[in-house]
Amino acid sequence: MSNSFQHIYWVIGLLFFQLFVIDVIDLGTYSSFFTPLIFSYVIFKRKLETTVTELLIFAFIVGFLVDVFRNTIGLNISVLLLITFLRSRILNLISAREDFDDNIELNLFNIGILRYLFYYGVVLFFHHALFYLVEQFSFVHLFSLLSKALINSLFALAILMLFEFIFNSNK
Amino acid sequence: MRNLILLIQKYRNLLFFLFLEFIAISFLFSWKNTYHHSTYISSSNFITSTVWNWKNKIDSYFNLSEINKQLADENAFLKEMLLNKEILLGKNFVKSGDSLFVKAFKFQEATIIQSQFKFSENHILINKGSINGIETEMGFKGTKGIIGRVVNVSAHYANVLPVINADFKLSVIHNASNSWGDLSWEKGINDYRTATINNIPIYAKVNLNDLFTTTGSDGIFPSQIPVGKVVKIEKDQEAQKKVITIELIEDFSNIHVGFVVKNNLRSEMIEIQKNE
Repeated sequence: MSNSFQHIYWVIGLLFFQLFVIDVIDLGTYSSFFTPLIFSYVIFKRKLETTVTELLIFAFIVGFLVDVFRNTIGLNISVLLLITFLRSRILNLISAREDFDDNIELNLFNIGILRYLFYYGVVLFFHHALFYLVEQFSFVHLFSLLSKALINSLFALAILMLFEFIFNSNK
Repeated sequence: MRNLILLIQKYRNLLFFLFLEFIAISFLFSWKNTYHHSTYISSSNFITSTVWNWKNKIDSYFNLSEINKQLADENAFLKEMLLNKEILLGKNFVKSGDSLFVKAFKFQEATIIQSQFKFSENHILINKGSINGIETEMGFKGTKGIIGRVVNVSAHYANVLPVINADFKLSVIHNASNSWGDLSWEKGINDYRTATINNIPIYAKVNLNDLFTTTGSDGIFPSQIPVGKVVKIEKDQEAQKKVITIELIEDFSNIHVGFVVKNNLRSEMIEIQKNE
């Protein structure tokens, strides 16, 4: 039970940081290069043994919350559902199945820094690229879209690692 | 039948995913295509707008000097206009309440409690709603220039579609040459400081730093409200048009107060335009 409370804390904390800190930081012309999406972490970190159904419901709720606050209903839900469904496939692609234990949370201190960077780098990049694609709804300016996705996923990775060091390091 | 059940069992994750994705995408398209999407699943609903209001209550203290400055600037501007007007007209000739002079536009002050400026779909939330007489299709003006148009109203809050959203369209006029053009904001090309104006004829003389203002033709804004200043001029030889990039007068990363513009004569205007 304490586990599910922990999930709720992470959801609230990351949403708070996303909406009230990241979304309001103004970097002038470069603002669009600092819009990392960090809330997807609450889905990516779930144990491998979590059923896909549970994950999908969770993703729907988280996406809905973000969308309601940002007034973009459907945008984050659809992207988050897709990336949630593809999570296990991406994991299979980038690693041998034995690499990760089924019953551990996929955080920095459980899976090691190299695999952490690799796994989260790939899923976050996919998430950002899909998000910008659906938001823009066309393939024009594909290069700027991909560079935006790359830079923002690096920012997201950095922010998430900072959070890991603050909140998960005592385990 | 048994095979069907087995099939469903085998692909239940995929089917469940497709089911949820279908819901999400129908949300997405209903939001993208219909103009007035439901009040309950947007940021002007009770719960989310209350949260934004708390946030605004906290951080408006940090912006007090900026808000003060914006209002003082506007005050100075209005005073200058008013004083000039009195000299021009003379008090004796205008009776207040004279039916010759109908007040078409009414302004109501509103505080911006949430503003987005980084995304492809930016929105603004203000703290006035239907109990203050706000309706959809009213204009929203900042202290310096136009901000957007009200698209969604709940009891105490309203959503504004700002200029920096690709769905926002407005006809604007180039003050020096009186040429009309179409203001739009293009995803991926414009950032929150700029917008694009199309359909200016190629023979119109447009210089850098020229001012574009509203035309008043749509009945949402009065005429002569500043929109932006020219920063880039391109010629489209094929269409014989100019494509002009303007820098918006309002800084959308730094807006705190504004005025909802109500046009009492708009229904009359629409009626006439329908009959044409």
